[in-house]
Amino acid sequence: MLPAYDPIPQPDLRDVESVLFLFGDAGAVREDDSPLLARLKKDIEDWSAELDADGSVMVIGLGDVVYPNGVSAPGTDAYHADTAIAMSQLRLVAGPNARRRGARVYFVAGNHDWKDDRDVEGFEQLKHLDALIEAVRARDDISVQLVPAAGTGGPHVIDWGRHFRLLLLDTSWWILQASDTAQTGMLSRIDAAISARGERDIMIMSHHPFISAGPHGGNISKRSGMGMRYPLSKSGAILQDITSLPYRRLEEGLRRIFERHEPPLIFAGGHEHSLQVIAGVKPTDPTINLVSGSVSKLADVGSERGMYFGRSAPGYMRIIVERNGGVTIFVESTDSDYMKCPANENERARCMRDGLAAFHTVYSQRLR
Amino acid sequence: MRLGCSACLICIIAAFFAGAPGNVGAQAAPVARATVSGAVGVAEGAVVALAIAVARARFQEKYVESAGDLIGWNWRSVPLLVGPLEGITFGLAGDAPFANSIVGSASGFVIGATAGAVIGRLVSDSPESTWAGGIIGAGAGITVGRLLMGVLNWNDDGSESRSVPVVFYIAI
Repeated sequence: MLPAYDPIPQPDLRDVESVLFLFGDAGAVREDDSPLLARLKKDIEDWSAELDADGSVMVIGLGDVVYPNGVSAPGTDAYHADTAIAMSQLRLVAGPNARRRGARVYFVAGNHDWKDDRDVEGFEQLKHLDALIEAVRARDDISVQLVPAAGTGGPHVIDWGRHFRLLLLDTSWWILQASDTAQTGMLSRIDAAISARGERDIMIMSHHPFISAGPHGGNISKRSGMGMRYPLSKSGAILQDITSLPYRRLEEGLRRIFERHEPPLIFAGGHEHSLQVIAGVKPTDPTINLVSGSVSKLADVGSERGMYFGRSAPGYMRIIVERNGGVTIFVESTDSDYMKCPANENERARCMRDGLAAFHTVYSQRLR
Repeated sequence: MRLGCSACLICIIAAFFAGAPGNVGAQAAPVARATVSGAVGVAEGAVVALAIAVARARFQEKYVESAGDLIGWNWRSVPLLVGPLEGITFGLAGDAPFANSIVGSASGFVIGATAGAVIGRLVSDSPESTWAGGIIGAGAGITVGRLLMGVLNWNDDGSESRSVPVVFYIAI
């Protein structure tokens, strides 16, 4: 049973310093069949118009830009379709207000962008996405970037506004590709970035969440996969679950760092196809754990200690930071019927219109 | 562990009917024995397939992507074929190998899972380690228990005094 919540009103615009949008796992829809992408783009446009400082609006794509195998090589049959899906996300900041105010989209890679591959082929596939993003940035003059750079774990550090330092990690790289030495190096860089944060609070963003009440966190039906999925997940035998050995090593490394400094205020990930807000319960847990990975796919949500909110529905999150450092999160969602609109033109137009109108804030919480 | 519990239950029920002294099941037709034993073999195969997948993940860092990897047409699903075949073989071989192989499965499963879980808990604090130990132990235990009990009783003449373990006399 989740705790009841009181809806938080939108902060006064004069008090807002910056806005961060989180969306993830959008790799199976396009802007012309996804009310969510249309709604997110409108939200970005509206906030870009409202805020008076350039660069105040930022968007983080939490991975799995294109399903199922990332962006294929140029010239292949799949390239055109893969590109159309990726472009739908790149164009989120292509509206006039977003361009004028310098709204930015940063993408972290998901395991599907790596083609779920532990060899060089995965890296090659990610390079295709990187090349596409670079080409669009140069051609269309929009602020989009794959971070950390393809084939590196990061962190990519962004000092955002006056209050926050964001660390963007490629956890898929960690799980699929990184050697022991490379993993140690990444943890050292995270440690250094947190040490040098000054007065800023830390937010960490990656494809894989730190804590999850979804299937990748072990919360799955015991009947799933003919009864085999459950024991496989519980024993850490599925690589992309956060119970796997590589991810547990990352978690242990991060916990040691959080113990030395302090846990981040927010750790946000996608990977799970749901929306979750979970408070940390252990001393080394991030204060708030967010999961926002339900743009184009849905999966069940179970329960987890500290859970404030969980829903299996299409949606995204918005984090509003006020000038005084206040932070409020809003979860925007709609009905699962509007996940992907039908191909028929008339039906699609109606679905897009209704889906756009059906979005509303389903959860909000003031963090401080 | 649901699959494992189901397998255990099937084993115990099958062993009860097959091995109880004077019971009609003791004279079960070869086809009936083979069917029951084959069904137990399916469960055994699933446990062994799981155990192999978990052992490869924990010791070699060779992971599966989903449960489907164990069910599809690939080498990982071989135990799912071998288990029923082994079960059918014991079922057709006679009452004694039939009953004793099932008792061996059940006891091997319980002992192996328990020992594995304890070892897993001792070597690491992570909850996955306990589960992994339990599953690997269950796979090893069920295989050894079934083969050992089935093969050792292969040429048994089927008399109650030799084919039915003492524990079943007590239980009944």
